[in-house]
Amino acid sequence: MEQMKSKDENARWEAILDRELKSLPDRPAPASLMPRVLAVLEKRARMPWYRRPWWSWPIAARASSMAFFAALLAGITWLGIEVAENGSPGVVTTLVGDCVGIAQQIWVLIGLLVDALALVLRQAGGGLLFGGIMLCVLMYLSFVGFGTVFYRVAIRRQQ
Amino acid sequence: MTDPSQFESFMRDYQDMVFTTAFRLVGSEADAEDIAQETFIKAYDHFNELRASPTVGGWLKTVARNMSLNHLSRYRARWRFFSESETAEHEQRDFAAEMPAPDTHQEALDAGDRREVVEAALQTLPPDQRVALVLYHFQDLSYEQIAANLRISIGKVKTDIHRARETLRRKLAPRLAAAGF
Repeated sequence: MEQMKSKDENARWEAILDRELKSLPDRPAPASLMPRVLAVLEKRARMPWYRRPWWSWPIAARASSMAFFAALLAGITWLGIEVAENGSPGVVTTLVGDCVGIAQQIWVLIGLLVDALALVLRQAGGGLLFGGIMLCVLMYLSFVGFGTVFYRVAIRRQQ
Repeated sequence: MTDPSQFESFMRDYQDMVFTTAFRLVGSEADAEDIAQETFIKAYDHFNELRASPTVGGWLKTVARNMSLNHLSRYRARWRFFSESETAEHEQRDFAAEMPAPDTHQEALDAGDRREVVEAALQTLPPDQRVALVLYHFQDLSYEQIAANLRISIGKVKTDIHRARETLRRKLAPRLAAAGF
């Protein structure tokens, strides 16, 4: 009985609240909204065509870009077929060879840096490593702590 | 090519509705203004189709709602972390105590005051509850749609809406009853 009464009361309150909420008028938008929107649109209109969204480019530019990407796609497809059928063609081999050469040089450099770091750590002992890690942790914690405090102060001021 | 004066008049007609939709969801005037701005810029890109459409109001409302929900989900994690103590204060705030005592000479609130009180009470709800309640009552979404939009369970949606209604009942029922509701 009590439960039914409470259900009825809830339903009644829901209906009252729904009516009250729906009768609320819209809030007036800030006076700055329209000038802001118009300023953005004006700025956008002054932009060179190539910095605007693609669908607003001039028709000739849109057609050329489509032709370019179609040609690019065709080229990639042709290369794929060429590699699949005849193994790697000359152009691809040269390109891959250059890339591998650069990657090898970078790899050697990284190896040298790691070796140097390991040597420094061996000389200084574990204390330096531990100290470095602790410093990083401390800096991270103070960053989060100060960030939180500043954020809360800023929010409170805004209110 | 869009005529700027036509777009200005279009904005004048709908700016309050778009701003209110965003404000009730995000609960901040500055964020609501940013969202309203983005909504109208998007509307400008589709203005040729929109100006003749009878459903333009619904389109704007849906875009403003989706942008507000995106904004909330983007900032939710950060907001929760940084404003933990603020939320606790928010929940503990006794809104009834902050409102002026009912005037004995004027028992019933007039419509303007009543709306102001309801709007203010709505803004004191914790964000999770306010968003679910606004989507249900203002945007007419079902529990399932709200759950899908907010990526939470239907149970949580129901609990949030129930809690929001209970909080509003505690804060508003005596005043609405005095006003004859």
